[in-house]
Amino acid sequence: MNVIALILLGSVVVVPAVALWSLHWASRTGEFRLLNRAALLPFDDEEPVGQATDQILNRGGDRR
Amino acid sequence: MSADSNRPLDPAAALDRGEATDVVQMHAAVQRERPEPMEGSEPLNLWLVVFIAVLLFWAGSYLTQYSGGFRADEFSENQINPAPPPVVGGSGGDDPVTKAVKAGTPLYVTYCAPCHQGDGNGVAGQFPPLAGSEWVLAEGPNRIIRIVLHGLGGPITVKGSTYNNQMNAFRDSMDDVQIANVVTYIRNSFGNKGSAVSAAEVAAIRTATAARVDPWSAAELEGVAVSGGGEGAAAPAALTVDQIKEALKALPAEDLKTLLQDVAK
Amino acid sequence: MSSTNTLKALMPGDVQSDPARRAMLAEIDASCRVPVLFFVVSGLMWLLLGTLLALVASIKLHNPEFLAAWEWLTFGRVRPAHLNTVIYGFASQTGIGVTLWLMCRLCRVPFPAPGLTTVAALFWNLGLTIGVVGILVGDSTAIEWLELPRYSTPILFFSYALVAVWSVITFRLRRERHLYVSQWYLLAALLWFPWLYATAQIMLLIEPVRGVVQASVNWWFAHNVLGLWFTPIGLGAIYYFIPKVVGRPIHSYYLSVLGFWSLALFYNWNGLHHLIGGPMPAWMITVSVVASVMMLIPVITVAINHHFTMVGHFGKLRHSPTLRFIVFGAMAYTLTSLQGVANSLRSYSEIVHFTHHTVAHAHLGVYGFFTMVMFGSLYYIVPRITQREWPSLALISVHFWGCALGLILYVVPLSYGGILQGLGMNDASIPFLKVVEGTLPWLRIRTGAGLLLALGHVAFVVNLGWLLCRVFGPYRKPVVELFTETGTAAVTAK
Repeated sequence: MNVIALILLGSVVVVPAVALWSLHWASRTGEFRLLNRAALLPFDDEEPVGQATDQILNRGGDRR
Repeated sequence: MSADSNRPLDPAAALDRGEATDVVQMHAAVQRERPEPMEGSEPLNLWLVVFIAVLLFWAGSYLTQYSGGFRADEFSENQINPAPPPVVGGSGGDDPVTKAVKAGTPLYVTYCAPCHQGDGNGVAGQFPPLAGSEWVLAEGPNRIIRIVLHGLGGPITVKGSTYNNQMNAFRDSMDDVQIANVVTYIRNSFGNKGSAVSAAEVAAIRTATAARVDPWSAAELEGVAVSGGGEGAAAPAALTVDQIKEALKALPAEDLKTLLQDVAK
Repeated sequence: MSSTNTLKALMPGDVQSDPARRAMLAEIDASCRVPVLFFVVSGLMWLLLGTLLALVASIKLHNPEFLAAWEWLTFGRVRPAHLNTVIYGFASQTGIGVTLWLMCRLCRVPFPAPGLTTVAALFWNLGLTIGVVGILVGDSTAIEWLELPRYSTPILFFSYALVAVWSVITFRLRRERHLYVSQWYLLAALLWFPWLYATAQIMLLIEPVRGVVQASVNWWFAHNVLGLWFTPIGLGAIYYFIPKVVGRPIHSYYLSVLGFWSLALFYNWNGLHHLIGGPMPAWMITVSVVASVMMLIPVITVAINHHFTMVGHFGKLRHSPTLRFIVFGAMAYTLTSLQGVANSLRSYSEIVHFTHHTVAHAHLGVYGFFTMVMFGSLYYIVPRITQREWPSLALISVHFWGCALGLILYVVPLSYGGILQGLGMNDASIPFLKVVEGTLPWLRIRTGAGLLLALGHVAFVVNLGWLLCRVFGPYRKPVVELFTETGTAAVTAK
């Protein structure tokens, strides 16, 4: 079997298979159900929701 | 504090960070008093769903209409079964020149206009003009068909100016009918007025010059009679003695000498 | 009601006490310091070189005699050298740096292999240096987006494999079980890129296919590098930084899921719309036109998500350099994607194909969207991994306005000039030379715009170099207080 056929097979079979598997994994582990929780993942104790960060420009005399 | 305090686990640095955020957290607590929308869980907008549905519908219809039946040999999205190309000089009652000019227009735009320009005037010093060119307007199309079939290289004089460039061969790009159409177009556009060229004439010349690989030179073409050869004649054009004499006279003295030496051998 | 308490309840119980958590965050940031800085700094060096090559190429288009005496600086070499330095040198390396940091932050785990990844970065730069020199001495493969000579690409691939494997291992070691949408994008990009690159290398250079299949593989690759490598990294960064900076979760998490999976489904089919009018079977082009139009689904969902998250928080643009660059990038993404949909339609492509319009479009995408997002991300990441603030706020402003105005000045006139050029070329009665002459004013404006962009880049590199002097030079105070909002009162009052 030549290398091109191998690549085409890989593209047509393996890539969609990985996609389907990850969809299945995501639904099995609740990635599509616990959306509220997922939306909060960038935040943590140190940089919690409701608090802006990186406010360093144009602060007048405020800047230390 | 020392240079060490930028190390991650340095307790002093961690404490620093803690103190800084404590103040902020107090403010953050105040800020949270305001009612906030349920962020992160906005449901899908109905209009978005409608929009996606419309897109999917469009996609389906576009795919069915413009895919050329999903055939590997269909290159135009607009037709499923291509109509046969128009044949010039057939039994149709229309004026053959008008028909050929119509069929030749897109061919000219594709193959010729990039160099000879849409107005047929060429580019000064680079590409010779076709408008009013003595090569195009010769009584018969023998030379110009040869040029289109096999290309042209080296110096050539057109309308009193000399050009030195390379022209491609189109023997594989266009069939006999297409070459006939495009040559007829050239001979009847940009103010030119010439006779129509038939596919049979092209076919005859194609057969006669089938062995040719290199492009023509202007000197070689001077040796080809402008007309004659006749419809359907598979053999090279039969020349009259007068035509040969005329052609020999047109040759530069040096070429004539070489030619005579060759013949003598 | 979203609040810190809700969040705490939702957090995994691995780390209990607050001080321990803070130490964890600092540890994560510090663990990425060396590899991320290495990728970013070398990326920026390539950016400077790429900008220089771009300026040379741009000047040559209206002054062909410029530097024409050296064969290794002819247009046919400078232009691919520019493309490869900015794509594989700057954009890919900075993208990898940002990916590593985001991955560690979102997995809440320190980066397991900083040393090995730094070695990988070293090899990436080595391979690329060989490749770019190869292009300049005339060894280009002459296949667009894959010009790097064959003797340099195995090094790149080896280096990339190291980085990708360690990113995936980081993901496997994660302490946070759940995935944020950014991680979906980043993981997908890490898997898509080797697939694209290996397929294109094998089918075009190692075991070349023949005829028009080459063209289709070439454009499948070139378009997908943008859509399945840079786009997911850029979108992943936007999805992280907009919520992070404004302190508000993303507008709708449903939409982000839809946006990711529709991108994954449709983007891969797009590339062949570059071959409209070419001798391809009609159905291949038609499928790619349909898929390009279907890109409206991910683009509009992502646009709604990004722009609606910003609603009510536009005041923060004044204060946050990260937010300025990221929001500029998000807007450019929406614009360039809509323009891309238009370009893929047959009737429009007939006009803009083979014109400078396409060049403007590519820069709106790779620069306006991706590069600006990367700049924004770096303004956030670098102070955290080095624990130093940016030394000069003025230089930040010069960087932003140089790049933003430069890009607008680049894209708008060149797009317009490109349409005029296309209309001219389609009109058979206009001689070709007249059309070429008509593009000159737009090309000169482009060189001016390029100078503005170069000014921005230099300002950024100076600022970063200054900051790094503070890290590696004599100790200056860590400026942790600038990470969060010291002037909370001012912002709360809004």
